[in-house]
Amino acid sequence: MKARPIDSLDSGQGVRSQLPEIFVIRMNELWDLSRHMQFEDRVTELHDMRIAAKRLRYCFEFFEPLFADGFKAHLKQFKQLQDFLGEIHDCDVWVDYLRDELKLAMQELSTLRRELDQHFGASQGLAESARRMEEQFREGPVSGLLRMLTELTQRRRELYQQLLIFWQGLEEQGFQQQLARDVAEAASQSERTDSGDAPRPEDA
Amino acid sequence: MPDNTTSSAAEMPQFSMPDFPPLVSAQPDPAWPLGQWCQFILLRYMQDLLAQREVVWRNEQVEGVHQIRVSARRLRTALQTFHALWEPAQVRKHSRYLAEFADTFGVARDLDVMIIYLDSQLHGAHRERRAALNWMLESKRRLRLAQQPELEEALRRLEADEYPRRFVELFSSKPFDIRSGGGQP
Repeated sequence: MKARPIDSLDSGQGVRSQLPEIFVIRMNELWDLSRHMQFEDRVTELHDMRIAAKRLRYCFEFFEPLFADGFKAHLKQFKQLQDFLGEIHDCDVWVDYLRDELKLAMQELSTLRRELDQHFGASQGLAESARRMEEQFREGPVSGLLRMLTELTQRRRELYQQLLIFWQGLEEQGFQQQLARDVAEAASQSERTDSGDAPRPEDA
Repeated sequence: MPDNTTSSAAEMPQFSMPDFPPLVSAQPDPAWPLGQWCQFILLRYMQDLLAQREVVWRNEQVEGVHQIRVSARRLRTALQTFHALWEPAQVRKHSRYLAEFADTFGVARDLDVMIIYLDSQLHGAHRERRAALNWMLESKRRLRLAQQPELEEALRRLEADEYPRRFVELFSSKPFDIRSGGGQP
């Protein structure tokens, strides 16, 4: 998901006065995506939301020294949100890996099965091939991989439920408004104007 | 934490460290103009990124790959966010370069995380599950090992392109010239 451009920043103006412009765009990016959260199977949108949350958190980190102390607690909650979204994404990625591994494991079984056709009659060779295949069935990874697939989907479901509860809590406490207030507060602090020679923009 | 594979047999290049303006070591000052603040952010994260090169090359700690990737992504986010402060073509070029760089490390990082997780699950795992875990561990370790030369190539390319020097040169001089220590308003 592409970041929404923030076009009208002024390099020569103070940092604080431009915080609202930066954060309004980045916060909207995240909260606009939150409408997808009620749909468990919107894998791409939840991933986009994770990216938007990460982008916003980085922005908070870029300007962290400008925020009041109480802001750290909000940043912590923000990190929790990211963790939920991150773990859900991990589950979505891991099932792909598991499916790939399963494919390989099944190919191995298939090769062993084809070996059975190479023998004529009830030969010792057939018995040996059958034993190898049976061993692979018993000791091989297929059933474990299938079990892990089930566990992973279960884990995702649990995480998703937890995310919904967590998000609802954030909404109830007015988290978005709190963050907006943090930004407004940081923006309204006075800027010093007399601390030495200012560098000038190259094109000025 | 020990590495998941083995260290590389390739000889580590002499990594160069560009001249960062002294201001990068200072505390950011709220009185700085936005341009200077953003230059500080970019240069600081580039410094963090470069500090991880040897750790990644030696492949002794998985954290190195994670940190170098995080720095590259933070840099990219900063460029996306503050793009209006530089010429669009320059921002695009650096953004692309950093995205590619971060992606290379992303594959290795995903594998590292997976290997650590699978390894942690092995203890006390049921026989059936153990077979699957071992199967996956073997496969992921093989892939991670194969990935190491890619990481080394990315680091070599960074050096060959003189990317750190070019990056520091640009972002130390635009929008403000902070090379000589750079005052602030």
